[in-house]
Order: sequence, then C-alpha cells, then structure tokens
Amino acid sequence: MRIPCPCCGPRAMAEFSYGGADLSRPVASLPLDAPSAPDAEWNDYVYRRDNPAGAHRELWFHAAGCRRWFVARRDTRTNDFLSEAGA
Amino acid sequence: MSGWRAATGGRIDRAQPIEFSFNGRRFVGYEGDTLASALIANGVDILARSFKYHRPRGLVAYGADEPNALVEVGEGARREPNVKATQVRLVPGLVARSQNCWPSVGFDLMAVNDLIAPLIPSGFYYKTFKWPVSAWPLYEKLIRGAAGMGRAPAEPDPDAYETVHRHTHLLVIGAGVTGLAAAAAALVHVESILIVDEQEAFGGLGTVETARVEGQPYGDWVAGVVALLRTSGKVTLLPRSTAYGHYDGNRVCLIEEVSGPVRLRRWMVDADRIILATGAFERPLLFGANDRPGVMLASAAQAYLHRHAAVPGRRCVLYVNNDGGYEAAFDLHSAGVAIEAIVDARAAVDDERTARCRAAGIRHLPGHMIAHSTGRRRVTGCVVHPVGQPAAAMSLPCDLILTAGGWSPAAHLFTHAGGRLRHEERIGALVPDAQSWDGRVSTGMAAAGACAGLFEMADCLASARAVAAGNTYTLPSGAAPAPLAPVNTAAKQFVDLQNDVTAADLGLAVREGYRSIEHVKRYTTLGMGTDQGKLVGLNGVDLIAAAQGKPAAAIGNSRPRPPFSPVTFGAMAGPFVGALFSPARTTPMHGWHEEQGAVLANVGSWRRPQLYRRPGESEMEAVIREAGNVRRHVGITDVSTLGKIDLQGPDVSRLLDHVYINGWSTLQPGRCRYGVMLREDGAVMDDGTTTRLSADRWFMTTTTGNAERILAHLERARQVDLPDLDVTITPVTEQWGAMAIAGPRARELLAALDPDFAVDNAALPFMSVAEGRLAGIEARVLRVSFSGERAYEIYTASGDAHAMWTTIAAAGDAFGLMPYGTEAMMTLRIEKGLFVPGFEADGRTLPDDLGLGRMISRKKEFIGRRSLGRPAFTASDRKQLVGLMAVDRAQAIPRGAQIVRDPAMPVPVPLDGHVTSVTFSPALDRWIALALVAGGRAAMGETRIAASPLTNEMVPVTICNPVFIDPDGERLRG
Repeated sequence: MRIPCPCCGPRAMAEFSYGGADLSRPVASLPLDAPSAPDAEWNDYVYRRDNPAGAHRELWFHAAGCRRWFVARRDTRTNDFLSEAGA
Repeated sequence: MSGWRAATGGRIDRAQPIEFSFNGRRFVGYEGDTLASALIANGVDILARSFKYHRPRGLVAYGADEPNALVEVGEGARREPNVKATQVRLVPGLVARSQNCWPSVGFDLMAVNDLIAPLIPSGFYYKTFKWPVSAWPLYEKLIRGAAGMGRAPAEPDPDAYETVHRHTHLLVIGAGVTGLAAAAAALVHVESILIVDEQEAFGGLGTVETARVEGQPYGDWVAGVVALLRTSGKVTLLPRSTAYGHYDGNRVCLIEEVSGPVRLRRWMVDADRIILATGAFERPLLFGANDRPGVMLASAAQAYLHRHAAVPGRRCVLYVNNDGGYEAAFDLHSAGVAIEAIVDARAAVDDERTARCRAAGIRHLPGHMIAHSTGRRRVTGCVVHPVGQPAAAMSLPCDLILTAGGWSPAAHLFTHAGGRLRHEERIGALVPDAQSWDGRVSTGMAAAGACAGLFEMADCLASARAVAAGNTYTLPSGAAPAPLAPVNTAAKQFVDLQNDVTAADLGLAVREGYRSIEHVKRYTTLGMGTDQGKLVGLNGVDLIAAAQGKPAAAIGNSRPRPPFSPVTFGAMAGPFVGALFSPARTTPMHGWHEEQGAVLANVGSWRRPQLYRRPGESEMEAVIREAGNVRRHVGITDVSTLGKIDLQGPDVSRLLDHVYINGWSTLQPGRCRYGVMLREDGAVMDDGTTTRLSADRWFMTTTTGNAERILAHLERARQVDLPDLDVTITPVTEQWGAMAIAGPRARELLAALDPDFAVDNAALPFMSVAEGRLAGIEARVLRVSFSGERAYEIYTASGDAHAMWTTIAAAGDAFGLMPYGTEAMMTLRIEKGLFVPGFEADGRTLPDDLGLGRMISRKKEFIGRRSLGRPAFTASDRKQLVGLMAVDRAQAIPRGAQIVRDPAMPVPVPLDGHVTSVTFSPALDRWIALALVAGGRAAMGETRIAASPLTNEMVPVTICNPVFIDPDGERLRG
C-alpha cells in the first residue's frame, strides 16, 4: 500500500505512522488559573471518534521520510486515498 | 503401473537423467521433469491417501490445482510437508515421501475409515463429540492423533530467504498468450512493467502447443514477444514466481523460486495497475468413485504429454461436456494411447468432431455419461450409459479416465482485491465482474483471456490489448457446455478430493438447513484444503444450487482468500530471523562494555549494560556494589540511549510551553529545566530535561523508549497545533554519545579532566550547562541527576564518546570510580523516588498522582491541561505515588504485589494499589519499593500488606515518602 505524502509523493506505507482522525483541537476558552471541569466539546475531542464506512479525514506522519504531518482522506472500506491535503 | 514415457517429444533432456527417490524406492527421471511427471513416467499410480477415508489417490491435475499428490520433500531440517508433487522441480537426489498413511501408501490401516464412511457423514465431529462436555479433551487428543497433514521439520530452517520491495506501473500476472500480448501492448504507454509466471518458461499452459497464434507457430510467437519485452528496457520478467495474494493498495505478494544461495525470494509489489492473465483451471466431471488413481483432468494429461512426454495410461476413456476436451483424446491417440471411447454428455455434437473420431477410429458416445469407475486400487474400467437410461449400462475397460468439464477462471486474486465474481451462463462458470470497481478511486485490476472467461485465441488477444489500453472487452457469444445432472449411484462421488467431501455430503448439509455457500463450505470442509478448492468451486456451487432448487447464479461463490497456494514460513520471515529479527542498536561505548564482561540486556531497541559483575560476585551483589559506590564515591554510566532532540528558532519556548506542563519562557540561556509531557487525556507520557544553550538554541532529552514517539509528538505539535511557530526540530540521538558521572566525588573527577570551563558550584550549579573542551574533546556538560547525587551528563560527538569514556575511566581510579549499569541506575532512582514511564507512569497516571501537582503552570494552555479537571481526575482516592518499606528489614517486597489492608477480608479483597518498582537499597540497607496506592499521600506511616498470590507472599509494609534519600536535595545541589 502506498500513501500520498504531499511532500514526497506516493511512498510505501511502512514509512508512515498513523495519527488518528483529523480533529481540530478546541482552543482554550476556559480560564487558565484553575483547572475547570472539561466541557462537552473537549470530551468529544479527547474520547469520541466517528467510525465511518467511507471517507475519513485523518492524520499521517511521514516518520521515515520528510517528517511531514499531513491530512489525507481515506476510504475506510477500500483503503483508497481519495485526495491529498497538506497539514 | 500404467504410466509410461513417450520415446520422443516433451521439453525434457533425455541426455540428462536424474535419480530420485520416492517412498524409499529409487527412480530415474530427466532434466525438465517435475516430481509428478517423473512419477507418471515411472508408472507410479498411488501417491497419497485421502484425508478422511484414507482412500488411495493418484495425480489429477498439472499445477496448483492438484488436490491429491501432497508429499513430503527433503530430509532433516530441509524436510517440507504438504508440497504438491506437481510443483516440485526434479533435481538430482530429490527425496520425497507420501504422507497421511501408515504403515505405507500401498497398505494404509486407517483405510478402515472408508468402510465406516456411512457412519461419518459431514458434521460428524460436531454431532458426536459434544457430549459429555467433560470428555472433549480426550476426544480432541484422539482426533488430533488421527488427523494432520505431514510433519513439520524439527530443526531450524538452514535455507536463506530474501524480501524485495518493488513499485511498478503495471503488473501482469500470468505469461501465457494473453499476459504476453497485454504486456507487449502496454509497452507503448507504460513506463515499467513486471510480468510473472509460475512456470519456468513463459507461454502458458492453456495453449495447445501445435496451435498457431496470429499466423505464427505458437512457439515462435511466444519467443518473439518475450524477446520484445526483454529488449524494451521497461519490463522485468519473473518466471518461477507465484502471485499468492493481493492486499490493500494494489500490493501483490510473489514468491520467486531462486537457484543459488537464496532458496525463495518474496516480492512485495506495489502496482498502479494489474492485469490478471492467470488463465483457468479445468473443471472435472463427477461420477461414482471418481477418485480412483487413473482419473485425471484431460488438460493435465495433455500437459504431461506435451511438456514431459509422460503419458498417464495406455487405454483411455475421455468424458467431456464441451468441444475443447476432444483435443486431449486426439493428442493422446497420436502419441500411441488407445482411446477406448469418447463419452460426451451432450446429445448433439458438431460434425467436425464426429468426423475426426470416425477418421481416428475412436468409439464416440454422444448423449452418454459415466456412472462410475471400476477397479480396486486403481481404475481398471468404467460403467457408461446413455443419459437418463441407467439400465442400458455397459462396461468399458480402461486404465485412464480423462474428464473435461469446461473451464473455471483462476480469478482468485480478483476476489482477494474485493472484486465480485459473476456467474456467466455462456460458459457455466464464474468470471470476474468488471463492475466490481464502480465507485472506487483506484483498483486498476482487470482480467483478460481465460481468466475473463474467454477461451478462443482471438478473444484472448483482443481482450489482452483492450485491458492494456485501459478499455473493457465485450464478450462474444459462444456455445455453453451441457449442465450435468448429478449421478445417482451408491459409490461416493468426490467433489473435494483433498478433504473427501462427496456430493452426498453437500446434499446432507443442505437438507440440514445450511443455505449460504460459506456455511456449507465450513460445515462440510468443502474447498478448505491446501488446494483451496481450485478443482472444487464450480461443482460445489452447482450441487448446492441443485439441492436448493435454485440457479447457480443465485448461490454465488465462497470467497477465496490469500494465499493462492501455500507459502513456506521461511519465505514469509525472509532474512529477518536471528540477529536480523530485531537488529540491536549499540552505543559508541558498546565495545568497552563487552570487554568488561558487562551483562547486556535489551532495552527497547538498544543493547545496554545491566551490570558489571566481578569474579565471584552474584548479580545482586554487583548491583549493590555499583549503586553503593555511587553514593559513597562516584560512578559512570552510559546514557547514550537517551532520546536527544535539537530545537532551534525564536519560538522554541512557546512550543515547549505547549507540550510540557511547566513554563519555559523564563528559562535563561545556560540553564536546564526538568519537564513533564502529558497526552491529551491528561496521563503522563514522558519526562526529561531541556536545556537552553543560547537564546534560540535548545537541547531536549527524552527517555530511551520514547525517543521516536516524542519526536513525532513535537512535530505534530509544531505542524498541526501551532503551524505559525518558527521552530526547527532535529533528532540527534545518534549524533551524540553520552555518559553520566554521579556521586559525591563527581566534581573532583570532572575537574581532573582538564576542562576549559569552570566546574565549581557557582559556575556550574545544579540544572545548568557548560560547553567547552573536556579532556581535549568538545563536550557539552549538563549538571542534572537521575540518582539524587551530584551528577554531570557529558555529551560528545558519537565518534568521540568512546575516547571520552576511556579517558574518564582511567582518570577515575583516583576517585574510586566504577561503572554502573541499568540495574544500579534503577536502584538509585527508586531510592530518590523518581518515576519512569512504563512503571509508575503507566498511561493512567496523572501528574498530581506522581506528586507533580505543583509543577503544573496555571498561566498557559498545554496538551492535556483541560483533561486534568475531570471529576475522576481530582478525586482524593486516586492512586498516588508513595514509598514502601518492609516492616521486617530483612524481608523482600514481592514485585508486582497488590496492596491490601487485610488479606483475611472476604473475597474479593479490595485492592488499594500495586507495587511498581522494587529494589534492595544499599543506602538504607533494606528492601524498598515505589507503589501507587489509593489515597497514599494521606496514609504516611500506615501499614499495608503487599500481597503476591502468585508467589504466595504476604509482606507487611509501611507507607512512606517515596524520596528515601536526601529529601531536601542537599547532595544534589551541593
């Protein structure tokens, strides 16, 4: 299986490590002076994951290559990479 | 004994006889033979016993579809079980044996199973051995004793194997006429082509060698195309290579048979496009006792004749349901075999074939079928009657029955890739459905030729050129073979010869309620042998369909999975065995450690010294000596394995603020700081020191095991979370060698190394850095400590590290220097109450659990911060890091023990926590431990029980401060 690195082009899967779903990290909206109870948005970000049958936006790290983190869209049913998108 | 060798013909070299042995008897074959063809030529009929009934079995097929002739090849460590005799090239001195029989293949005692066959129908084991449940272990032992195929060798594999990775724009699987035509057509627009074939010579098996291709003799056409491919500079030709599986992303794995120092080479090919030109397997026709030695596929007999001049009989009956099979009879007739009759299940046969039969003087029986074979240990005849009229039966004497039931495309790789097969009425077979890939981005797999259900030469060529150009080929219309009604006879009709599955078994499974072909397959074991049911597929589908009263198209097919044919474990492992299984990383000082006789251990991917044992010392005595010497004098240890990361740029402190729980903007150049990183869920991930060398240059160390993970983590933080930062991250673990000198006399030792920088406590205080020359070598010296002692980590270029180490070792004698290994390092850090990831920080531990709550910055956002406020994370009964001392000074604390209040409490005893690290402390002269204990910090001085049910130990322990020595840090900072 080859993964399209936006920097190096398609490369063997063994060069990459998987970084999970591409989720936007919620910006700190809570006061920093005391640890507050996390909100639902944070809870979703840390624990909840979709498990789609189909297109999935996810992060990959070209660990044994250019060390670029990038977003790719993969069809989870076929492992086809659908398009390329830089991080 | 009816096989023989024709005097002429075949691709064998009669000038090169080859001696081999089979079941202890010596035989002679020729260069160019397979084990199968040589055995045929030597008149060997019985090659194996069947799996369940132990019936005698002979050769049926020519290639990977052979179900019967499984043999053991080789001796000793090179013995290989379950090899198909059809796939073994004959080499001098080859030793092969039958398997699954005792005492011999000719007289097998287990053949008693054949007599009791009515008592062991499909599902016999499921139905019989389920009661009483308690007796299953006994049943299992007996069944396993009676079952099994072949014997695995007991010694290590002495052969060498290789693994190769390759990308190609086009992979053509199968180098028959179709595959060669496709590759040639693709030359004009494809940059790189890989074409593979199982056979030694390209050209395929499906073609009658007397045929003409595009006006040329078959052999000339093949030679011409192969030469064109070879000289193109674009094509890699791989003969003797089997494509055994298709995996995600158009990866196809091949096994290449190699001659030379390497036995097999495994290719992992990533292909942009794949053309399947794998041909088709001939489908056998069913009749009673169709498993007797002497029953063979018509195409197989033809191949043995043309390729090896090996003729499997002298008097033959051909049983067909299509025109194609006739050629086998005519070829054998020309070679001198008496054709007793051609039995054609179809009532109407075209005039041309009728005329050719008449011209050759062959008895022609259209509208007839074979009821069953006759004979005892091999075929001696068969009973034939007009279709639907069993009363009009007649006996025909023969020693060979050839069957030709049409062709079944070898579409295995197509289904590996997720493609569907479609039942094509025209040929009564399953063909790859090109629409399988609709809606997919990349599949790039297309079938052509016989694999696409096209059996006419013109169609093969046209479809090959169409798919090479990326187009589809439209099927022409043609004649269908007559579907056969199952024969009603008492004798067993074998659908699956390898697993002894009969037509009656399939009927029974359907009557018992099995509907899905996948369920019938698993219940009856249809197609589950090492031949993967290559011969079975279509006959099984038709019989299950008939039993359910449905058309074959409604039954579908069971999905073949990789591997297409068995793969030797050695080829899977490739060269990655022994020392290469997991190559060890060694530090620049490794040679010194070995010279000193250090006990080395694997730590992650590294080899590290555990301890340096002196003569007469036990391991524990060595550890106590090494650790005690650090507390009293000074020790040196190799810390080159620490992860090291160089950070440069104006925004490094902002990146560090994001990944560490503590703040970094205030750290001045020349100073170090200890930092702790969390995962986003709040759990402690790693710790280490980061040093600010100058305004925009920083140096981070990570724990040995987390070096790669932290690099990825930092890159992700920089690229994904904070893409605007100006920071460059460079891993330098391999570039720096490192050693720590620790102990009260460490500064004296450092000063004795002639540094060109000041080392007194004012100039180089705890948590500071100096760079300069030390013992004449460029060095970076960090005043940090993992032992609680005054300590310095000395970093040099990797190439200088060995020299630095030996210089220090020589200078250290005056100060009582001793090397210490990872065991003493652990003892020292436990005495100091320092946690490590994997023991105390186990993926559930929060910073506050480790007593690091005060380190957490309240002034910034960092990874994991918002998780720390979760109610469960702030509860007072969380497990907290504490120290333990055994109440009885002499008593050891068991490793991994659970902490309980009273082991006499009713079960389940509440568990308060567990021991994470244990050591004998030379400083305290007693056993101590670190533990995570619920509410532990509020329980100082209380007694608990460290319970280890595994070792039956119950040790009373006192909860104490985890910092056992120097809690105020005077030794550290002094």
